[in-house]
Amino acid sequence: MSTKKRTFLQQFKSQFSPSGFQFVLLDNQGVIVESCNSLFNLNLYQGLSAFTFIPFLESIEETLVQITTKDAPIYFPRLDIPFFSHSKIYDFTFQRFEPFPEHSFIAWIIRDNTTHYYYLRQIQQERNMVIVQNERSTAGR
Amino acid sequence: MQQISKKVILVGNFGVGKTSLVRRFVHQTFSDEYLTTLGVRIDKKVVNLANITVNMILWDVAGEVSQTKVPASYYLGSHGVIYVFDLQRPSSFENITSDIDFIRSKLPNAPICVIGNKKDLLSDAELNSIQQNLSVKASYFTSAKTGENVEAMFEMIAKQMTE
Ligand SMILES: Nc1nc2c(ncn2[C@@H]2O[C@H](COP(=O)(O)OP(=O)(O)OP(=O)(O)O)[C@@H](O)[C@H]2O)c(=O)[nH]1
Ligand SMILES: [Mg+2]
Repeated sequence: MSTKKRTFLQQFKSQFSPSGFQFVLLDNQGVIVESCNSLFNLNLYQGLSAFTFIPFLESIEETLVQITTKDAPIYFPRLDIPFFSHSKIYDFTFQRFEPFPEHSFIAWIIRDNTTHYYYLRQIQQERNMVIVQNERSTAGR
Repeated sequence: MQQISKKVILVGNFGVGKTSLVRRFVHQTFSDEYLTTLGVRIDKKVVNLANITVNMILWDVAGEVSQTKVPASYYLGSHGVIYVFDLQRPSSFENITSDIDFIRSKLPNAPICVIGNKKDLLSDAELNSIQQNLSVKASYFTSAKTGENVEAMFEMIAKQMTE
């Protein structure tokens, strides 16, 4: 029924957002409080500390728990993480979300950027191989 | 036994063997094929030291000619750094001094381990001559291909991070 009130553009846009993005809220112990599960289902892990089963988060726990609402979001581009599957490349952003002083979360935004990065990887691979080969041929002279 | 988690980043020029060193250490395999790393690849290995267990979380970072090009967030919270160069490619250790200075400025307290890799491709005489001309002292010469010194190198940094 709400579709009737939306403009055509809003209706069109709603087909796209939030695909490619997942939003997760963690508490300061890393426990998954809420997840929209757009990219992968974290329901199985609800109530568990993500610091204990996602090595990426485990390794930067000290940094994450110290983020405050005054800090700029921390952006980690181009992540290849086995927990999420090696065939995909994600970008992560972390920031403090504090709707009320007694409700403070580490907000985690996951973006699947595989298509774009696949193209970038090919370019990087070609560039690196050309440079290494050029060095070899110059060294051999 | 006490257990702790430590983040270690592997950095250096591209094609020097960072991914191969991690693969050798974590999965005991090696491949001659070169597949460049995009961004960063995360791996984990549990290392048992004399009285402590270290969960080493390895951040295998895409190689860059200069370390200033690595996204600043990758360095955040690192407990240790492995800087890898290719013994066979002088261009991969040309910027070693400025690279190490840069990393030191980002992570003043983390141990930095400098590694010359692909040892299997050089004679002892060649290795000696490189060692004498390096502007920074290398902790180990390794070979991801044969596995020589790989385990020892990772254990050394695990120890340094717990001291
Ligand atoms: N002979 C020999 N070849 C090696 C050794 N280590 C790596 N290589 C080869 O060197 C090439 C590059 O290795 P990688 O491990 O992908 O290098 P990298 O530093 O991860 O490269 P980027 O991800 O592009 O930064 C591959 O073809 C490997 O097979 C070694 O110890 N000996
Ligand atoms: Mg690599």
